[in-house]
Amino acid sequence: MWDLLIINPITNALLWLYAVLGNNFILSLTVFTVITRILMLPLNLRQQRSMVKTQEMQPQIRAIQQKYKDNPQKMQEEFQKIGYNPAESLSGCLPLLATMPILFGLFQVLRLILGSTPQTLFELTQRVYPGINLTNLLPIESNFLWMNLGQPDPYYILPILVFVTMFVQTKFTSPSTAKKDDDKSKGNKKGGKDKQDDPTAAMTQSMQYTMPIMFGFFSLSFQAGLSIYFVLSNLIGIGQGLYTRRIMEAEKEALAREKELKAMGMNGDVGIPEAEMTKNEPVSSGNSKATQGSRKSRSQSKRKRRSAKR
Amino acid sequence: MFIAKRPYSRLTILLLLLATLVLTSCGAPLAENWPRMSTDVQNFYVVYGPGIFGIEAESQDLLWNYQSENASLFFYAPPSVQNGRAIVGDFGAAQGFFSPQTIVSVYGLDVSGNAAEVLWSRDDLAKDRIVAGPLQIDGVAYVATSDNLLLALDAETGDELWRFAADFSIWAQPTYHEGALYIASLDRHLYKINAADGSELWAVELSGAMSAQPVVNPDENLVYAASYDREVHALDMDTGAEVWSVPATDWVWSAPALADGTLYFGDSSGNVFAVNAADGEILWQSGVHAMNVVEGVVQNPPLEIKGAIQASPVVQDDVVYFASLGNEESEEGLLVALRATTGEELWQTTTPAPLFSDPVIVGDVIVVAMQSEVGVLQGYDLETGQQEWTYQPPES
Repeated sequence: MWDLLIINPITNALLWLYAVLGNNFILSLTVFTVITRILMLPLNLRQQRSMVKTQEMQPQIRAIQQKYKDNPQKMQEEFQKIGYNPAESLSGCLPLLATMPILFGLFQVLRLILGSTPQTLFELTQRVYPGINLTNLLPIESNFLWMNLGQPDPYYILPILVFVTMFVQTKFTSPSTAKKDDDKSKGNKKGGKDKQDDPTAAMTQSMQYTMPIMFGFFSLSFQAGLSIYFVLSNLIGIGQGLYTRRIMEAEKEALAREKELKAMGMNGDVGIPEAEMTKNEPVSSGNSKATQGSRKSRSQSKRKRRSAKR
Repeated sequence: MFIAKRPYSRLTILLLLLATLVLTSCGAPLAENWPRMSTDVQNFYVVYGPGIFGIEAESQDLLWNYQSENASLFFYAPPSVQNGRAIVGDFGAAQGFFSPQTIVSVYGLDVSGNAAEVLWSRDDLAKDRIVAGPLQIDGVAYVATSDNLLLALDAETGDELWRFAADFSIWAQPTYHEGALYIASLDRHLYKINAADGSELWAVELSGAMSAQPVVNPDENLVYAASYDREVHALDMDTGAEVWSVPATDWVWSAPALADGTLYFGDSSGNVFAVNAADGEILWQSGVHAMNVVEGVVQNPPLEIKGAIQASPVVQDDVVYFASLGNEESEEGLLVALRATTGEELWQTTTPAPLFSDPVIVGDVIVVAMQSEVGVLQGYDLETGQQEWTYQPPES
């Protein structure tokens, strides 16, 4: 089943891309990485938004936890009221779990395609779909720069790149970083303590270091092709992280503007109050409704300002 | 607190451990390790896993064995043994987690006594696996590597004399004839080079990669190249110009056998062919799918060789023997004997495991090597196909 659902499709996808892209394996690997990242994009975005949202709700969550520490049932009810579902905090692991089959599959597929032994070639012939003419594709070019893509990087450059890019990626996609930045900007010295008290932040914090170290370490013995997949995937992740942060910051600014306007008494009837929004928007649904809400309120604010000017 | 810190940390650790476990298991060496052998008629020389074995053909007594100190290091290329000296190259192995670079070595072993003594070993010559068996001619060892090289080494000392670089891996043993070497490469080229200095005499590009040793036919001034392009090509030995080619139905992995002016070969679909070595005329063909190949050619429909043929056939006394991967479901191999002149089936017998490696004939026994717990080497009677003996090399 593993072969049928993972190994064979990845093998044939890479071979097909190799054929289409002028027998350039690094290019086919790049396109494959981009495609897999695009397929994972909704999941990643949802996870990132969910994590940030949970992070933002931490003061409320902690207050509820403190208040109802002896009454778990009431605590649950209160969590529901603010739209927080503790079980769904685990959804942060989903993208990681979802990419694992591709990761493990790719590891085996690269050994098959770039294995450079009669055994691997024979196995490859058993897995190729009828539409792909393996005769025309062989030999599959496995050299790229100083590397043989089927063997580990002899100069340890790729493991370092894997570590650095993954570290930067987790920094960019990590809500705790954003929170820390906020704390710093607000001069909140309790930022560190908050993180200690906050298990989600603690987990994220530990993931920030353990994952890059682990994957950098593994890349020492991975085929260079797999390490390149990691690096490319991380670079895309960095771009995605930057984009998501920008969007979320824009949303925050919009909300802040609404608050200001509300405080000035100019916009008493527009937008959704933050508390109400968090109450109505479950964390698990990402921020899509919140986004819609904020967009709606932004457009309403604009209309209101225009009418005020008139 | 409702959400304790620990469960999340545990989850993280659990995930990391899981990833470690799976990735580590992914890194395990390939389970498939096909035993291969060479022979000088008196003895077999078998490579299997981390060991090389010299076995007396008649009695199947172990003459000597060499075990790699590194248990993860495998041998795939059968050794070349001449004048009590074995030349062999390994599949290479990483030197550890922090030294992942594969180190491939070529060895010169003294096998004249009861033990294999290392005369010399070189780990600075090749960076990728050695798949092709080395060749010894006049004190020079020719070693082809997967990192595209053909190395000429002093067989006595291991000193490098010259090197020739192809564009891709060389999996086929070179063929020597009158001061020239013919090399088939996965880069789709057949090369003729000067054995004295490694200079290229000619190179011809075919339409498929090649892993089969070229076969020379001085009588016709032809060199034959079997290719993954589903053809066997006959090229002029002097110029490399293609004289004729004959179609198969699938990849031809291994070298054809030449005997009495006829060329015999099998393909990956289990079809076997006999063609006139002079002009490529198909004399007969047999197999599951062979019926559709060429009209008007003698067919032998009753024969069904199940499974791909990856090994070279062997011919003796008007009989041609083919080894095949056999039935995929039962994971048994197949050994078939056909009348060389007509393709008529004489016998066929199943073997305990698929046959990937070339069989050899010693005396009145055909010997096949396989990855089997019953016995890595199995001898079958040439006349009847009855199993004569099995041999399991000692474990390291």
